[in-house]
Amino acid sequence: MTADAAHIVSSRDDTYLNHTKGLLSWVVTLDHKRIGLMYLLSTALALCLGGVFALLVRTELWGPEENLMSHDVYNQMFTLHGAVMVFLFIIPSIPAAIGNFILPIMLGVKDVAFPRLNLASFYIYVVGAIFLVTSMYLSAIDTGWTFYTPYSSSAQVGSQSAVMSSAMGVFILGFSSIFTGINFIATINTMRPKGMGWFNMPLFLWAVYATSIIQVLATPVLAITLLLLTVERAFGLGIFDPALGGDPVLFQHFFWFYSHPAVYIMVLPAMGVISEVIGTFSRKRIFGYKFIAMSSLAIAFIGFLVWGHHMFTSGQSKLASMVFSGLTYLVAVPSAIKVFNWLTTLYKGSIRLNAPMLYALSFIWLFAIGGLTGMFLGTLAVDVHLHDTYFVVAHFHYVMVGGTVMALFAGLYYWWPKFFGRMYNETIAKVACLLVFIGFNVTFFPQFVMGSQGMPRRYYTYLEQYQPFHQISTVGAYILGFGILMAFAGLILAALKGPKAPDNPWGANTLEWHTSSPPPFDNYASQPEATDPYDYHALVFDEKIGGWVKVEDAPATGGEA
Amino acid sequence: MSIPALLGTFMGLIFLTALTVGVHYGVDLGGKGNLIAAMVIATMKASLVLAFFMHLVFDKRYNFMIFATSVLGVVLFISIAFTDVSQYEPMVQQRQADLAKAAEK
Amino acid sequence: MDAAAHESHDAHGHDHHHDPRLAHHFEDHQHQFDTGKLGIWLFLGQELLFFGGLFCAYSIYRGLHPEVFEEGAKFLNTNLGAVNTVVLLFSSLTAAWSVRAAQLNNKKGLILAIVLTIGCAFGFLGIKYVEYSHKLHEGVFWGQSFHPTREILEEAHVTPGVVPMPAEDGSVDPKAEKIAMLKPNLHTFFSIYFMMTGLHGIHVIAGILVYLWILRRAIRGDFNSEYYGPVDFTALYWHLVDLVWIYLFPLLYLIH
Repeated sequence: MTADAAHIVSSRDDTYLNHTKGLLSWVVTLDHKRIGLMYLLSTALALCLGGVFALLVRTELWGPEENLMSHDVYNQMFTLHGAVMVFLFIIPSIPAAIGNFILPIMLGVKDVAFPRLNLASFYIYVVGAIFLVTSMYLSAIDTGWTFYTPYSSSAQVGSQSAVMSSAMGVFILGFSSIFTGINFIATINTMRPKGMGWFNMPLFLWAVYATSIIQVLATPVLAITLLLLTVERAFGLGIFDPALGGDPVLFQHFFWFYSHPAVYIMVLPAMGVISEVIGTFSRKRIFGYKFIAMSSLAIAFIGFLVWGHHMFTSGQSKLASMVFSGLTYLVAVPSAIKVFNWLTTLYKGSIRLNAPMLYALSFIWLFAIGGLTGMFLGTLAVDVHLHDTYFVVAHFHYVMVGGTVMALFAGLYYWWPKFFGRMYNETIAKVACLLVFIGFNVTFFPQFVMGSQGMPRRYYTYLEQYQPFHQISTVGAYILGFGILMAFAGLILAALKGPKAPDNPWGANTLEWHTSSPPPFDNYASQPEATDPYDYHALVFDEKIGGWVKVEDAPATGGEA
Repeated sequence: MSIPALLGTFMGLIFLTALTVGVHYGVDLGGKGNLIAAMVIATMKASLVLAFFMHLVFDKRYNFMIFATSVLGVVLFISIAFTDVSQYEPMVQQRQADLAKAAEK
Repeated sequence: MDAAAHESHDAHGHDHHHDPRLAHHFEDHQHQFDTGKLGIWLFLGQELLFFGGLFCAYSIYRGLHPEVFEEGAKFLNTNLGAVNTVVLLFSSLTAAWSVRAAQLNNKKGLILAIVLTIGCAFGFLGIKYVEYSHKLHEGVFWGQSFHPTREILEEAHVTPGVVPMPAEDGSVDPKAEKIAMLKPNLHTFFSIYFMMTGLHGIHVIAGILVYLWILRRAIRGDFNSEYYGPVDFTALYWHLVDLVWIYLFPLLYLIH
């Protein structure tokens, strides 16, 4: 690594990928970039595993009769789909995988604040995942991913020890999430480079910061909930089990105190990715920077006040339901602020429709549908009709899959050249994006319709009138699955055989684009100066290297953008 | 921290412990009164530990903010859950009484 | 959060500074200390929420059924609880003292303070063991296993009544000996008691383990006025364990 002018000439002889060699150098690495990639690999595997469960569920629902599996196995399949997707995939995907890799480089530091804690949280994740997946061999958990009592604490069918194994798995996974949150907050607070005040931070960092606050403050409540559930099941504690004088609705309070804010753990980092991608590919300063930054914190804060809207029909008191319903509408305000600001950024920008941008635009479209249908569900009277129907299923898939998975691919395609120093194939990426977008809508839009007509979720069989919707949905699920596989294939092909990427292929001005691709082991040759992250005029396109360079470093004959 | 500050904090804590046990045995303020007294004393003890043993009075304000936010989270959680449960509990009691009546017949 | 204390043996390349205890990505010891302290406070924040769940269950059940808690507390030994409070407060004093000793480069004082803290922690667990074993021996378990013996009912001065006591298998035989009126769901108090004190006890054990590691490093001479973060952070954790007990004691033992 030549110490001077690292951003012009990237000498790739020493990168984090080849700095040390051998499997052991990965397994015990303290380097945030390698830990990020290990997270990426494991969350991608979890996505595929959860996807297989989803396809099995959808295939079974092709007709109302038994097609593939018995009703007991079906219960296990939708439970495993939910648990794997939520706890193993969505929650760690963007913050722990992309965040781990990008956050320190965006800050211009060598590593996160506590590298050992970072590695520890990865292995805690692995152990938790093993516990959760092991439950499959113990006749698999069939309670739904929400573990509602008293079924989870007392049912004697199907899921004897599986509930305990899964609950302990999720308990352990929670600590992985907490430690990642602690690490990111400490890093952002104390290690920002000189010249980077709070309001010079890239918006991705704001989003991750808000996410981390939720992780630290909400996840411990999930941990104690599942600990209580496990002890309840093992020793008959009687806190949640009505047969022993406990209160099952109290369990839902406990569970949703975490699991509602957890929805924002899933979507806030996705919004951070979108804020970066939209600005870069519009080549226009992000509109309303402070509003986007503050709306992340507002979402995190309000997210703690609305958990009761999951409990409108489960015996919650009228008073609490009304208060929670009112507060739920408040979440719409910061979410809408973000969407409006992204759209305003697009206005009169010079938009380039590269793959990351296509994924980002899909995100806005799908997130808007998901968010607006949330308004229906937040309305007390309407929710009584729609509760526990496919309308709810479609709503949260629009936010969690249409939102987070789209943003994950936007982020992966956006930063892939930085991760591996290689460009992806634009055609594969775009076709994959189209397939995912079409497949997703074909899968979930019919579910809104049949949900509003009264098709309950989690049912094994159904009336004949719903069959066309179910069949369209199943076809869509296969298209979606194929699209996701293709998107991954595009990434893997790029990492293995893609053409060399320039250091700054997109002309973005956040700090990670000012180091070489892939980054050296220490991220930077010397501590970089903070830049204005959204000043795109500081960069010009250099045709010789096919990437963007700082104006002052551009060769005199260099092309104009 | 200086030795007098350490010892002073400790003596204060011991005094408050004696006080709370004394109030428990010696003074009857009614069920709620005694609970409130015990909680006030416990909070005084907690403040002593936080302020001096945990150095929060000398420390960066951000650390205090973290702690305060967590306390706020706990208070929020307990108060909302408590409000809801005490609202629906009479309905549960009523239902149980009805069931008991029906069983008698 | 010992991770704050990582000595940078990880060869992240060129180390300019000579102190192996300063990790490569920090500017100086002060920077490392501040970051570590922020980390440990965040950890304590999550601990608070973790215990908060149990306090929530406690407040709801006590708020709805105060009579159950009044009766349950009669089974607890207030004197042992008070002694344990003093033991734990003293260990907090020695923990705070260990930080002072480290700041003043007083190696002997540091070792003494840590040893005293560990000793008090064991004392606390010993007294807890006496309390637990007495209860479990007399059938005072949590939840569905709650079958108190006649002896402990008399010892606790539970109001005599006319309701037959349920047998071991939970069945009620109206002809059985009528011993005492037990409040319905009295076992819930002991579920909460054992969960809260048990989880607190696990934190005490964890504290002992961390302190043993700190003791080893103190004897090795790792700490001085410039580098004492791990001592400070462990003490902060220990104070939090104390803090939880400060609330547990009146909430469980001092119920009127």
